Amino acid sequence: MLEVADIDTYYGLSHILFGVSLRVERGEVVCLLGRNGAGKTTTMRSIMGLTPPRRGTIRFKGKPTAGVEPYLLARQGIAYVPDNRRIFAELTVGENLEIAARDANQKGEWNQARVFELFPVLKEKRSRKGGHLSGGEQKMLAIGRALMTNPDFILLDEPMEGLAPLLVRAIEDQILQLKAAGLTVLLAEQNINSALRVSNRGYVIDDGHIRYTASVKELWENQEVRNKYLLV
Amino acid sequence: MDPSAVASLLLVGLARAMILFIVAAGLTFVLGVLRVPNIAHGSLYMIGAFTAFTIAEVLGKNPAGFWIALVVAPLVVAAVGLIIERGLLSHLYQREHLMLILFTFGIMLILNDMVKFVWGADYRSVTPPEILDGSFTLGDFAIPRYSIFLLILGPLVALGLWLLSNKTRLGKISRAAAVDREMVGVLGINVSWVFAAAFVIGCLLAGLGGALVAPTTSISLGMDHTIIIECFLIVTIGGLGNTWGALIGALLFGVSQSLGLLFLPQYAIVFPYAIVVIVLLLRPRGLLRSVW
Ligand SMILES: Nc1ncnc2c1ncn2[C@@H]1O[C@H](COP(=O)(O)OP(=O)(O)OP(=O)(O)O)[C@@H](O)[C@H]1O
Ligand SMILES: [Mg+2]
Repeated sequence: MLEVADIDTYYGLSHILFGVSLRVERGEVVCLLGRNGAGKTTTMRSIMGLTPPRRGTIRFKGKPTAGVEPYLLARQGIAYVPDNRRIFAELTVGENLEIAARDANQKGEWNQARVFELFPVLKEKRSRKGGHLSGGEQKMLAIGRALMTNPDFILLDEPMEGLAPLLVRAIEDQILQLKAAGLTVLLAEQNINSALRVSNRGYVIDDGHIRYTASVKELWENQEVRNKYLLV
Repeated sequence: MDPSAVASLLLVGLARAMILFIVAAGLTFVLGVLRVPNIAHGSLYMIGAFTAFTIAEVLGKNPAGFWIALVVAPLVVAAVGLIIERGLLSHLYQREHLMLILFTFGIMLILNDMVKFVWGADYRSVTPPEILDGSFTLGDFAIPRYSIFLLILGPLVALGLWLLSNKTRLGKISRAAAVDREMVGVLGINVSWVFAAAFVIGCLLAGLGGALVAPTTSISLGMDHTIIIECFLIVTIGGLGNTWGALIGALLFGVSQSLGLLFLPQYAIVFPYAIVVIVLLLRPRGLLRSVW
Protein backbone atom coordinates (compact mmCIF):
# COMPACT_ATOMS: atom_id res chain seq x y z
CA MET A 1 0.00 0.00 0.00
CA LEU A 2 2.64 2.49 1.09
CA GLU A 3 6.34 2.38 0.57
CA VAL A 4 8.59 5.13 1.89
CA ALA A 5 12.15 4.70 0.72
CA ASP A 6 15.05 6.61 2.16
CA ILE A 7 13.45 10.08 2.39
CA ASP A 8 15.05 13.27 3.63
CA THR A 9 12.69 16.06 4.61
CA TYR A 10 13.44 19.65 5.52
CA TYR A 11 11.55 22.61 6.92
CA GLY A 12 13.33 25.40 5.12
CA LEU A 13 16.94 24.92 6.10
CA SER A 14 16.39 22.55 9.00
CA HIS A 15 17.00 18.98 8.08
CA ILE A 16 14.42 16.87 9.94
CA LEU A 17 14.17 13.38 8.44
CA PHE A 18 17.28 11.41 7.55
CA GLY A 19 16.84 8.46 5.22
CA VAL A 20 13.51 7.37 6.65
CA SER A 21 12.14 4.16 5.13
CA LEU A 22 9.00 2.29 6.03
CA ARG A 23 6.36 0.05 4.47
CA VAL A 24 2.73 -0.49 5.24
CA GLU A 25 0.91 -3.41 3.65
CA ARG A 26 -2.76 -3.43 2.81
CA GLY A 27 -4.93 -4.13 5.84
CA GLU A 28 -2.18 -3.54 8.41
CA VAL A 29 -2.11 -1.15 11.33
CA VAL A 30 1.47 0.00 11.67
CA CYS A 31 2.63 2.31 14.43
CA LEU A 32 5.34 4.92 14.31
CA LEU A 33 6.67 5.38 17.80
CA GLY A 34 8.82 8.22 19.01
CA ARG A 35 9.02 10.94 21.59
CA ASN A 36 8.30 14.62 21.14
CA GLY A 37 10.18 16.08 18.23
CA ALA A 38 11.26 12.69 16.89
CA GLY A 39 9.83 13.35 13.43
CA LYS A 40 6.48 11.50 13.44
CA THR A 41 4.40 14.42 12.20
CA THR A 42 7.04 15.32 9.64
CA THR A 43 6.92 11.76 8.29
CA MET A 44 3.15 12.01 7.93
CA ARG A 45 3.32 15.42 6.28
CA SER A 46 5.88 14.00 3.86
CA ILE A 47 3.57 11.13 2.94
CA MET A 48 0.58 13.45 2.49
CA GLY A 49 2.62 15.69 0.20
CA LEU A 50 2.31 18.68 2.56
CA THR A 51 6.05 18.86 3.17
CA PRO A 52 7.43 16.85 0.27
CA PRO A 53 10.77 15.15 0.88
CA ARG A 54 13.80 16.53 -0.95
CA ARG A 55 15.33 13.12 -1.49
CA GLY A 56 14.04 9.59 -1.62
CA THR A 57 10.77 8.25 -2.96
CA ILE A 58 7.33 7.55 -1.65
CA ARG A 59 5.03 5.15 -3.48
CA PHE A 60 1.35 4.83 -2.77
CA LYS A 61 -0.39 1.84 -4.34
CA GLY A 62 2.74 1.40 -6.39
CA LYS A 63 2.74 4.91 -7.87
CA PRO A 64 5.35 7.52 -6.92
CA THR A 65 3.78 10.51 -5.18
CA ALA A 66 6.49 13.05 -5.94
CA GLY A 67 4.98 16.24 -7.32
CA VAL A 68 1.40 15.07 -6.72
CA GLU A 69 -0.61 17.68 -4.84
CA PRO A 70 -2.16 16.71 -1.50
CA TYR A 71 -5.72 17.01 -2.80
CA LEU A 72 -4.95 14.49 -5.53
CA LEU A 73 -3.30 12.13 -3.06
CA ALA A 74 -6.47 12.42 -0.98
CA ARG A 75 -8.50 11.42 -4.02
CA GLN A 76 -6.22 8.43 -4.53
CA GLY A 77 -7.20 7.29 -1.06
CA ILE A 78 -4.87 8.78 1.57
CA ALA A 79 -6.44 10.58 4.52
CA TYR A 80 -4.64 12.51 7.22
CA VAL A 81 -5.77 13.21 10.75
CA PRO A 82 -3.34 15.83 12.08
CA ASP A 83 -2.22 15.81 15.71
CA ASN A 84 -3.64 19.27 16.36
CA ARG A 85 -7.00 18.20 14.84
CA ARG A 86 -7.55 21.30 12.74
CA ILE A 87 -11.30 21.18 12.90
CA PHE A 88 -12.97 24.02 11.00
CA ALA A 89 -14.07 25.87 14.12
CA GLU A 90 -16.65 28.10 12.45
CA LEU A 91 -18.40 25.21 10.71
CA THR A 92 -20.83 22.92 12.46
CA VAL A 93 -19.97 19.30 13.13
CA GLY A 94 -22.27 18.27 10.28
CA GLU A 95 -20.68 20.78 7.91
CA ASN A 96 -17.19 19.60 8.84
CA LEU A 97 -18.21 16.13 7.72
CA GLU A 98 -20.24 17.28 4.76
CA ILE A 99 -17.52 19.21 2.98
CA ALA A 100 -15.22 16.20 3.18
CA ALA A 101 -17.70 14.04 1.27
CA ARG A 102 -16.73 13.92 -2.35
CA ASP A 103 -20.32 13.98 -3.56
CA ALA A 104 -23.45 14.76 -1.65
CA ASN A 105 -24.99 11.29 -1.79
CA GLN A 106 -21.71 9.57 -1.08
CA LYS A 107 -21.64 6.27 -2.86
CA GLY A 108 -18.62 4.90 -1.05
CA GLU A 109 -18.48 3.08 2.24
CA TRP A 110 -18.50 6.06 4.54
CA ASN A 111 -21.22 8.62 4.99
CA GLN A 112 -22.43 10.78 7.87
CA ALA A 113 -24.71 8.08 9.23
CA ARG A 114 -21.86 5.62 9.44
CA VAL A 115 -19.52 8.14 11.06
CA PHE A 116 -22.22 8.86 13.65
CA GLU A 117 -22.50 5.12 14.27
CA LEU A 118 -18.79 4.99 15.02
CA PHE A 119 -18.86 8.18 17.11
CA PRO A 120 -22.33 8.55 18.63
CA VAL A 121 -21.35 11.73 20.55
CA LEU A 122 -20.93 13.55 17.26
CA LYS A 123 -24.50 12.82 16.26
CA GLU A 124 -25.91 14.62 19.28
CA LYS A 125 -23.74 17.62 18.54
CA ARG A 126 -24.09 17.69 14.78
CA SER A 127 -25.34 21.28 14.69
CA ARG A 128 -22.82 22.53 17.25
CA LYS A 129 -19.87 24.56 15.96
CA GLY A 130 -16.68 22.52 15.62
CA GLY A 131 -14.83 25.02 17.79
CA HIS A 132 -17.24 24.38 20.65
CA LEU A 133 -16.42 20.69 20.99
CA SER A 134 -14.16 19.26 23.67
CA GLY A 135 -10.68 18.09 22.74
CA GLY A 136 -11.73 14.45 22.64
CA GLU A 137 -14.80 15.19 20.53
CA GLN A 138 -12.65 17.18 18.14
CA LYS A 139 -10.32 14.21 17.76
CA MET A 140 -13.28 12.03 16.86
CA LEU A 141 -14.56 14.64 14.44
CA ALA A 142 -11.14 14.83 12.81
CA ILE A 143 -11.16 11.06 12.32
CA GLY A 144 -14.76 11.12 11.09
CA ARG A 145 -13.97 13.90 8.66
CA ALA A 146 -11.05 11.92 7.27
CA LEU A 147 -13.25 8.85 6.88
CA MET A 148 -15.77 10.87 4.87
CA THR A 149 -13.21 11.01 2.06
CA ASN A 150 -13.52 7.21 1.84
CA PRO A 151 -9.81 6.50 2.21
CA ASP A 152 -8.03 3.19 1.80
CA PHE A 153 -5.17 4.39 3.94
CA ILE A 154 -5.32 6.70 6.92
CA LEU A 155 -2.54 8.59 8.67
CA LEU A 156 -3.48 9.01 12.34
CA ASP A 157 -1.20 11.42 14.15
CA GLU A 158 -1.41 10.86 17.92
CA PRO A 159 -5.18 10.42 18.05
CA MET A 160 -5.16 9.58 21.76
CA GLU A 161 -2.81 12.30 22.96
CA GLY A 162 -4.15 14.12 25.97
CA LEU A 163 -7.31 12.06 26.28
CA ALA A 164 -8.71 10.55 29.46
CA PRO A 165 -8.07 6.79 29.84
CA LEU A 166 -11.67 5.92 29.04
CA LEU A 167 -11.56 7.87 25.81
CA VAL A 168 -8.20 6.34 24.93
CA ARG A 169 -9.88 2.95 25.18
CA ALA A 170 -12.74 4.14 23.01
CA ILE A 171 -10.38 5.40 20.30
CA GLU A 172 -8.42 2.16 20.43
CA ASP A 173 -11.63 0.24 19.83
CA GLN A 174 -12.54 2.53 16.98
CA ILE A 175 -9.15 2.01 15.34
CA LEU A 176 -9.68 -1.74 15.60
CA GLN A 177 -13.09 -1.28 13.98
CA LEU A 178 -11.48 0.63 11.13
CA LYS A 179 -9.02 -2.18 10.69
CA ALA A 180 -11.84 -4.69 10.64
CA ALA A 181 -13.54 -2.53 8.00
CA GLY A 182 -10.49 -3.04 5.80
CA LEU A 183 -8.65 0.23 6.30
CA THR A 184 -4.89 0.42 6.38
CA VAL A 185 -3.51 2.64 9.13
CA LEU A 186 -0.24 4.33 9.98
CA LEU A 187 -0.49 5.45 13.57
CA ALA A 188 1.93 7.90 15.19
CA GLU A 189 2.12 7.48 18.93
CA GLN A 190 4.22 8.20 21.99
CA ASN A 191 2.19 5.93 24.19
CA ILE A 192 3.61 2.51 23.51
CA ASN A 193 0.82 0.69 25.36
CA SER A 194 -1.98 2.00 23.20
CA ALA A 195 0.01 1.67 20.03
CA LEU A 196 0.85 -1.92 20.69
CA ARG A 197 -2.71 -2.77 21.58
CA VAL A 198 -3.95 -1.86 18.11
CA SER A 199 -0.99 -2.40 15.78
CA ASN A 200 0.51 -5.35 13.99
CA ARG A 201 4.01 -4.01 13.97
CA GLY A 202 5.88 -0.81 14.55
CA TYR A 203 8.78 1.44 13.74
CA VAL A 204 10.68 3.45 16.27
CA ILE A 205 11.79 6.87 15.11
CA ASP A 206 14.19 9.15 16.92
CA ASP A 207 15.91 12.33 15.81
CA GLY A 208 14.64 11.83 12.27
CA HIS A 209 16.10 8.34 11.93
CA ILE A 210 14.25 5.02 11.98
CA ARG A 211 16.03 3.20 14.80
CA TYR A 212 14.22 -0.06 15.06
CA THR A 213 11.42 -2.05 13.50
CA ALA A 214 9.74 -5.15 14.80
CA SER A 215 6.51 -6.93 15.48
CA VAL A 216 4.35 -5.80 18.36
CA LYS A 217 5.52 -8.61 20.54
CA GLU A 218 9.21 -7.94 20.02
CA LEU A 219 8.77 -4.23 20.61
CA TRP A 220 6.92 -4.93 23.80
CA GLU A 221 9.64 -7.21 25.08
CA ASN A 222 12.61 -5.13 24.06
CA GLN A 223 13.28 -3.19 27.23
CA GLU A 224 16.39 -1.56 25.83
CA VAL A 225 14.63 0.08 22.89
CA ARG A 226 11.81 1.20 25.13
CA ASN A 227 14.17 2.85 27.56
CA LYS A 228 16.34 4.42 24.95
CA TYR A 229 13.79 5.88 22.54
CA LEU A 230 10.43 5.97 24.28
CA LEU A 231 8.87 7.17 27.46
CA VAL A 232 7.72 4.33 29.61
CA MET B 1 -35.52 71.74 9.94
CA ASP B 2 -37.99 70.30 7.47
CA PRO B 3 -38.67 66.72 8.55
CA SER B 4 -39.52 65.54 5.06
CA ALA B 5 -36.19 66.84 3.77
CA VAL B 6 -34.45 64.99 6.57
CA ALA B 7 -36.31 61.82 5.70
CA SER B 8 -35.52 61.95 2.01
CA LEU B 9 -31.89 62.71 2.67
CA LEU B 10 -31.66 59.76 5.02
CA LEU B 11 -33.34 57.57 2.46
CA VAL B 12 -30.89 58.60 -0.22
CA GLY B 13 -28.05 57.93 2.23
CA LEU B 14 -29.40 54.47 2.94
CA ALA B 15 -29.77 53.77 -0.76
CA ARG B 16 -26.19 54.79 -1.38
CA ALA B 17 -25.18 52.56 1.52
CA MET B 18 -26.69 49.63 -0.37
CA ILE B 19 -24.34 50.16 -3.30
CA LEU B 20 -21.42 50.57 -0.92
CA PHE B 21 -22.48 47.35 0.78
CA ILE B 22 -22.65 45.37 -2.45
CA VAL B 23 -19.18 46.49 -3.54
CA ALA B 24 -17.69 46.13 -0.05
CA ALA B 25 -19.23 42.67 0.33
CA GLY B 26 -17.28 41.55 -2.74
CA LEU B 27 -14.08 43.04 -1.34
CA THR B 28 -14.57 41.46 2.07
CA PHE B 29 -15.45 38.06 0.57
CA VAL B 30 -12.17 37.99 -1.34
CA LEU B 31 -10.32 39.24 1.75
CA GLY B 32 -11.90 36.57 3.88
CA VAL B 33 -11.47 33.54 1.66
CA LEU B 34 -8.33 34.34 -0.34
CA ARG B 35 -6.71 36.72 2.13
CA VAL B 36 -6.03 39.05 -0.75
CA PRO B 37 -6.61 42.78 -0.25
CA ASN B 38 -7.71 43.49 -3.80
CA ILE B 39 -6.87 47.12 -4.55
CA ALA B 40 -8.15 46.59 -8.11
CA HIS B 41 -11.66 46.00 -6.76
CA GLY B 42 -12.59 49.65 -7.41
CA SER B 43 -11.42 49.35 -11.01
CA LEU B 44 -13.62 46.30 -11.48
CA TYR B 45 -16.53 48.37 -10.17
CA MET B 46 -15.66 51.09 -12.66
CA ILE B 47 -15.56 48.55 -15.49
CA GLY B 48 -19.00 47.41 -14.36
CA ALA B 49 -20.32 50.96 -14.65
CA PHE B 50 -18.76 51.58 -18.08
CA THR B 51 -19.94 48.22 -19.38
CA ALA B 52 -23.46 49.00 -18.18
CA PHE B 53 -23.23 52.30 -20.05
CA THR B 54 -22.13 50.62 -23.28
CA ILE B 55 -24.82 47.95 -23.11
CA ALA B 56 -27.52 50.51 -22.33
CA GLU B 57 -26.29 52.64 -25.24
CA VAL B 58 -26.11 49.80 -27.74
CA LEU B 59 -29.59 48.68 -26.83
CA GLY B 60 -30.70 52.30 -27.17
CA LYS B 61 -34.43 52.67 -26.90
CA ASN B 62 -35.02 49.11 -25.81
CA PRO B 63 -36.81 49.46 -22.45
CA ALA B 64 -35.11 46.30 -21.22
CA GLY B 65 -31.68 47.86 -21.84
CA PHE B 66 -31.02 48.77 -18.24
CA TRP B 67 -32.08 45.37 -16.96
CA ILE B 68 -29.94 43.56 -19.46
CA ALA B 69 -27.01 45.79 -18.50
CA LEU B 70 -27.64 44.99 -14.86
CA VAL B 71 -27.20 41.30 -15.57
CA VAL B 72 -24.55 41.35 -18.28
CA ALA B 73 -22.18 43.97 -16.84
CA PRO B 74 -21.46 41.95 -13.66
CA LEU B 75 -20.89 38.88 -15.83
CA VAL B 76 -18.39 40.77 -17.97
CA VAL B 77 -16.57 41.91 -14.82
CA ALA B 78 -16.65 38.35 -13.47
CA ALA B 79 -15.03 37.14 -16.69
CA VAL B 80 -12.30 39.78 -16.34
CA GLY B 81 -11.88 38.60 -12.75
CA LEU B 82 -11.53 34.98 -13.80
CA ILE B 83 -8.77 35.91 -16.24
CA ILE B 84 -6.95 37.93 -13.57
CA GLU B 85 -7.25 35.15 -11.01
CA ARG B 86 -6.23 32.27 -13.26
CA GLY B 87 -3.58 34.22 -15.13
CA LEU B 88 -1.96 36.11 -12.26
CA LEU B 89 -3.22 35.86 -8.74
CA SER B 90 -3.39 32.07 -8.56
CA HIS B 91 0.38 31.96 -8.86
CA LEU B 92 0.89 34.44 -6.05
CA TYR B 93 -1.10 33.20 -3.05
CA GLN B 94 2.02 31.94 -1.32
CA ARG B 95 3.52 35.44 -1.32
CA GLU B 96 3.33 37.76 1.65
CA HIS B 97 0.58 40.33 1.95
CA LEU B 98 2.68 43.29 0.99
CA MET B 99 3.51 41.61 -2.32
CA LEU B 100 -0.16 40.82 -2.92
CA ILE B 101 -1.09 44.44 -2.26
CA LEU B 102 1.55 45.59 -4.72
CA PHE B 103 0.40 43.08 -7.33
CA THR B 104 -3.24 44.10 -7.09
CA PHE B 105 -2.14 47.72 -7.19
CA GLY B 106 -0.39 46.90 -10.46
CA ILE B 107 -3.53 45.22 -11.75
CA MET B 108 -5.47 48.35 -10.85
CA LEU B 109 -3.12 50.51 -12.91
CA ILE B 110 -3.43 48.16 -15.89
CA LEU B 111 -7.22 47.98 -15.67
CA ASN B 112 -7.51 51.76 -15.39
CA ASP B 113 -5.41 52.21 -18.51
CA MET B 114 -7.56 49.70 -20.31
CA VAL B 115 -10.70 51.60 -19.31
CA LYS B 116 -9.14 54.79 -20.62
CA PHE B 117 -8.26 53.05 -23.85
CA VAL B 118 -11.70 51.53 -24.39
CA TRP B 119 -13.99 54.30 -23.12
CA GLY B 120 -11.83 57.40 -23.16
CA ALA B 121 -11.80 60.11 -20.55
CA ASP B 122 -15.29 61.52 -21.18
CA TYR B 123 -18.09 61.56 -18.67
CA ARG B 124 -20.87 59.09 -19.42
CA SER B 125 -24.30 58.56 -18.03
CA VAL B 126 -27.06 55.99 -18.01
CA THR B 127 -30.74 56.79 -17.72
CA PRO B 128 -32.70 54.52 -15.45
CA PRO B 129 -35.69 52.73 -16.96
CA GLU B 130 -39.00 54.51 -16.74
CA ILE B 131 -40.40 52.70 -13.75
CA LEU B 132 -37.33 53.58 -11.70
CA ASP B 133 -37.08 57.17 -12.89
CA GLY B 134 -38.23 60.20 -10.93
CA SER B 135 -39.78 60.00 -7.53
CA PHE B 136 -43.12 59.58 -5.95
CA THR B 137 -44.41 61.65 -3.10
CA LEU B 138 -45.93 60.75 0.21
CA GLY B 139 -47.39 63.98 1.58
CA ASP B 140 -44.55 66.40 0.95
CA PHE B 141 -41.95 63.69 1.27
CA ALA B 142 -40.29 62.91 -2.08
CA ILE B 143 -38.93 59.43 -2.50
CA PRO B 144 -36.70 58.73 -5.51
CA ARG B 145 -37.88 55.48 -7.05
CA TYR B 146 -34.35 54.37 -7.77
CA SER B 147 -33.52 54.62 -4.04
CA ILE B 148 -36.41 52.33 -3.23
CA PHE B 149 -35.12 49.89 -5.82
CA LEU B 150 -31.67 49.92 -4.19
CA LEU B 151 -33.17 49.51 -0.74
CA ILE B 152 -34.93 46.37 -1.91
CA LEU B 153 -31.95 44.99 -3.80
CA GLY B 154 -29.36 45.51 -1.04
CA PRO B 155 -31.01 43.19 1.50
CA LEU B 156 -31.66 40.66 -1.28
CA VAL B 157 -27.96 40.58 -2.07
CA ALA B 158 -27.17 40.20 1.64
CA LEU B 159 -29.62 37.30 1.83
CA GLY B 160 -28.15 35.74 -1.29
CA LEU B 161 -24.65 35.93 0.15
CA TRP B 162 -25.84 34.42 3.40
CA LEU B 163 -27.44 31.54 1.52
CA LEU B 164 -24.31 31.10 -0.56
CA SER B 165 -22.06 30.94 2.51
CA ASN B 166 -24.26 28.78 4.67
CA LYS B 167 -26.33 26.62 2.38
CA THR B 168 -24.10 25.75 -0.54
CA ARG B 169 -21.16 23.39 -0.63
CA LEU B 170 -19.01 26.07 -2.23
CA GLY B 171 -19.88 28.48 0.57
CA LYS B 172 -19.10 25.99 3.32
CA ILE B 173 -15.81 25.06 1.69
CA SER B 174 -14.97 28.75 1.32
CA ARG B 175 -15.55 29.32 5.01
CA ALA B 176 -13.29 26.40 5.80
CA ALA B 177 -10.62 27.49 3.31
CA ALA B 178 -10.65 30.97 4.84
CA VAL B 179 -9.17 29.56 8.05
CA ASP B 180 -7.21 26.49 6.96
CA ARG B 181 -6.67 26.04 3.26
CA GLU B 182 -4.11 23.27 3.71
CA MET B 183 -6.58 21.10 5.60
CA VAL B 184 -9.25 21.70 2.95
CA GLY B 185 -6.79 20.38 0.36
CA VAL B 186 -6.08 17.34 2.51
CA LEU B 187 -9.78 16.47 2.23
CA GLY B 188 -9.39 16.07 -1.52
CA ILE B 189 -10.76 19.48 -2.46
CA ASN B 190 -8.98 21.46 -5.13
CA VAL B 191 -8.61 24.70 -3.22
CA SER B 192 -7.31 26.47 -6.29
CA TRP B 193 -10.75 26.33 -7.93
CA VAL B 194 -12.46 27.33 -4.72
CA PHE B 195 -10.32 30.45 -4.70
CA ALA B 196 -11.08 31.14 -8.34
CA ALA B 197 -14.80 30.85 -7.62
CA ALA B 198 -14.55 33.12 -4.59
CA PHE B 199 -12.62 35.73 -6.54
CA VAL B 200 -15.16 35.62 -9.36
CA ILE B 201 -18.00 36.10 -6.87
CA GLY B 202 -16.17 39.12 -5.46
CA CYS B 203 -15.82 40.54 -8.98
CA LEU B 204 -19.45 39.83 -9.75
CA LEU B 205 -20.40 42.00 -6.79
CA ALA B 206 -18.02 44.78 -7.85
CA GLY B 207 -19.59 44.68 -11.31
CA LEU B 208 -23.10 44.69 -9.91
CA GLY B 209 -22.24 47.71 -7.76
CA GLY B 210 -20.87 49.48 -10.81
CA ALA B 211 -23.94 48.73 -12.89
CA LEU B 212 -26.20 49.89 -10.06
CA VAL B 213 -24.37 53.14 -9.51
CA ALA B 214 -24.40 53.96 -13.24
CA PRO B 215 -27.80 55.73 -13.31
CA THR B 216 -27.05 57.71 -10.15
CA THR B 217 -23.80 59.37 -11.08
CA SER B 218 -21.63 60.45 -13.95
CA ILE B 219 -19.44 57.57 -15.01
CA SER B 220 -15.84 58.60 -15.41
CA LEU B 221 -12.25 57.58 -14.99
CA GLY B 222 -11.31 58.06 -11.38
CA MET B 223 -14.61 56.83 -9.99
CA ASP B 224 -12.67 53.83 -8.71
CA HIS B 225 -10.59 55.91 -6.29
CA THR B 226 -13.34 57.02 -3.93
CA ILE B 227 -15.09 53.68 -3.87
CA ILE B 228 -11.97 51.66 -3.10
CA ILE B 229 -11.05 53.91 -0.20
CA GLU B 230 -14.58 53.83 1.14
CA CYS B 231 -14.84 50.08 0.75
CA PHE B 232 -11.58 49.39 2.52
CA LEU B 233 -12.73 51.55 5.42
CA ILE B 234 -16.10 49.81 5.47
CA VAL B 235 -14.65 46.31 5.57
CA THR B 236 -12.15 47.38 8.20
CA ILE B 237 -14.77 48.77 10.56
CA GLY B 238 -17.05 45.82 9.83
CA GLY B 239 -14.42 43.16 10.54
CA LEU B 240 -12.33 41.76 7.69
CA GLY B 241 -14.06 38.99 5.80
CA ASN B 242 -17.41 39.50 7.55
CA THR B 243 -20.34 40.11 5.20
CA TRP B 244 -22.66 41.40 7.91
CA GLY B 245 -19.85 43.65 9.04
CA ALA B 246 -19.71 45.06 5.52
CA LEU B 247 -23.45 45.74 5.72
CA ILE B 248 -23.18 47.54 9.05
CA GLY B 249 -20.10 49.43 7.90
CA ALA B 250 -21.82 50.53 4.72
CA LEU B 251 -24.91 51.70 6.62
CA LEU B 252 -22.78 53.68 9.07
CA PHE B 253 -20.90 55.20 6.18
CA GLY B 254 -23.94 56.07 4.05
CA VAL B 255 -26.05 57.40 6.87
CA SER B 256 -23.29 59.46 8.45
CA GLN B 257 -22.68 61.00 5.06
CA SER B 258 -26.29 62.16 4.78
CA LEU B 259 -26.39 63.35 8.37
CA GLY B 260 -23.27 65.35 7.63
CA LEU B 261 -24.93 66.89 4.61
CA LEU B 262 -27.87 67.78 6.77
CA PHE B 263 -26.15 69.43 9.69
CA LEU B 264 -22.79 70.66 8.48
CA PRO B 265 -22.90 70.55 4.69
CA GLN B 266 -19.51 72.18 4.26
CA TYR B 267 -17.86 69.45 6.36
CA ALA B 268 -20.11 66.60 5.25
CA ILE B 269 -17.30 64.62 3.73
CA VAL B 270 -15.55 64.40 7.08
CA PHE B 271 -18.39 62.64 8.90
CA PRO B 272 -17.97 59.07 7.66
CA TYR B 273 -14.25 59.25 8.28
CA ALA B 274 -14.82 60.51 11.80
CA ILE B 275 -17.11 57.53 12.39
CA VAL B 276 -14.40 55.20 11.09
CA VAL B 277 -11.86 56.70 13.46
CA ILE B 278 -14.20 56.38 16.43
CA VAL B 279 -15.08 52.77 15.61
CA LEU B 280 -11.45 51.80 15.18
CA LEU B 281 -10.44 53.50 18.42
CA LEU B 282 -13.10 51.55 20.27
CA ARG B 283 -12.78 48.29 18.34
CA PRO B 284 -9.51 48.09 16.43
CA ARG B 285 -10.42 44.71 14.91
CA GLY B 286 -13.77 45.94 13.63
CA LEU B 287 -17.33 45.71 14.89
CA LEU B 288 -17.97 42.08 14.01
CA ARG B 289 -15.71 39.09 14.11
CA SER B 290 -12.90 39.17 11.59
CA VAL B 291 -11.69 35.93 10.06
CA TRP B 292 -8.13 37.25 10.02
N1 LIG C 1 7.43 24.10 10.80
C1 LIG C 1 8.62 23.73 11.30
N2 LIG C 1 9.73 24.42 11.03
C2 LIG C 1 10.94 24.04 11.53
N3 LIG C 1 11.11 22.97 12.30
C3 LIG C 1 10.05 22.23 12.61
C4 LIG C 1 8.75 22.56 12.13
N4 LIG C 1 7.88 21.65 12.60
C5 LIG C 1 8.61 20.78 13.33
N5 LIG C 1 9.91 21.13 13.34
C6 LIG C 1 10.99 20.39 14.00
O1 LIG C 1 11.08 19.12 13.43
C7 LIG C 1 11.37 18.13 14.38
C8 LIG C 1 10.38 16.99 14.26
O2 LIG C 1 9.08 17.49 14.53
P1 LIG C 1 7.78 16.62 14.42
O3 LIG C 1 6.63 17.56 14.56
O4 LIG C 1 7.84 15.80 13.19
O5 LIG C 1 7.90 15.70 15.69
P2 LIG C 1 6.83 14.71 16.32
O6 LIG C 1 7.50 13.39 16.41
O7 LIG C 1 5.57 14.78 15.58
O8 LIG C 1 6.69 15.31 17.76
P3 LIG C 1 5.37 15.46 18.70
O9 LIG C 1 5.23 14.16 19.41
O10 LIG C 1 5.76 16.55 19.64
O11 LIG C 1 4.22 15.80 17.84
C9 LIG C 1 11.35 18.84 15.73
O12 LIG C 1 12.67 19.04 16.13
C10 LIG C 1 10.68 20.15 15.46
O13 LIG C 1 11.24 21.15 16.27
MG1 LIG D 1 3.63 15.43 16.03
